[in-house]
Amino acid sequence: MTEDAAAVARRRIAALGPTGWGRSALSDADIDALVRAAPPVELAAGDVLAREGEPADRAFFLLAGRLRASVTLGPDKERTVNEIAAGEVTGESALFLTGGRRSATLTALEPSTALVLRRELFLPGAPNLALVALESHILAGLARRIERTDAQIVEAWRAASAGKGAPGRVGLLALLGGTS
Amino acid sequence: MTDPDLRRHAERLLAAHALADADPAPLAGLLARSGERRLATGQPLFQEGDAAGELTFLLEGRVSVLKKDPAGNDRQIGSWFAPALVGGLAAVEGARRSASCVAGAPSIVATLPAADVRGVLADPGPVGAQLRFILLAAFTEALSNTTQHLRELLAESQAAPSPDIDRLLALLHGAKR
Repeated sequence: MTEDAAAVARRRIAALGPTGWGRSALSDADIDALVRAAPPVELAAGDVLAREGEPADRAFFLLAGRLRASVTLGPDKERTVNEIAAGEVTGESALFLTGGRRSATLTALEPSTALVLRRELFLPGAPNLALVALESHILAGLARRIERTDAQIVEAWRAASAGKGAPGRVGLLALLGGTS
Repeated sequence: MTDPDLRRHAERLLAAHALADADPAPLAGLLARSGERRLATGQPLFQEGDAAGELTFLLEGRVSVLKKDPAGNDRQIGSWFAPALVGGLAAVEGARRSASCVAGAPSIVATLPAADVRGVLADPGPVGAQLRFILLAAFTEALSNTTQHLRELLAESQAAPSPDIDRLLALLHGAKR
């Protein structure tokens, strides 16, 4: 890990503090402990962070840069289905649902830094308020996705009752913020 | 509930959320601070639109999750089987209930007031860590279930389903990217 990556990680984790349940500034000791437990990885533009079909056993907290999520549709054919911005966590379900595989490939669109989050990090252990803040951040992200999916269900009911059929792939792509 | 009952329920809740090896004492202590309710089949636990008041541990039984469609009719979008954590979204986010829950069988629940929930969640010690882990697992499962329901809706409505729709839905709920 370079000094730059560690500094980016510390700054981004410190910024989680005021939004966590604790509402208090995070200590350097807690932030450093979290960075040691989940060391950041640095990516150049074009580097692949995770590949579609691989066993999924970790999530990523993007500290800086931007990632593209793409799926393979056939030989030499892929589609971008999402972009992940700095501050977002991706692949959380790999931490809490076991046995799955990656449904998309994650590629850096620009020089990027991400914390690699393994399940063991979240098991009860030494108290760490920086980890509490990260868990709060992940829960908030999951809550937004649940609310968005709920809204899509209601929209599907509305479309069906209006005889339009439920929103299909195009609607889902729009929901994902994806592009072709 | 007796201490052995609390311990047994804590062990079952932890095991159901991939924490089978964890010490049940912290969670059993939290359950001891919670209020116990017994529900008959068909009895509501809470209603869609209610102010979020509490976090519910489903200890025994089953609850159905219902959501109003645009015509105002309740439609079932899922079920929770004990042991499970129900209503976490509203309790954690402070939002109103996004769905109704009704007992689908005789059930026993333990409820913790939302203000207490937030206090425990801020606790870096073992009880906070266990509750956060269980919530993360429960939210992940809820998202998976909701997405599955949406997938079924889309499959019903599409004469020629798109081959990559499952993958798009997996991405929508953030699965294993």
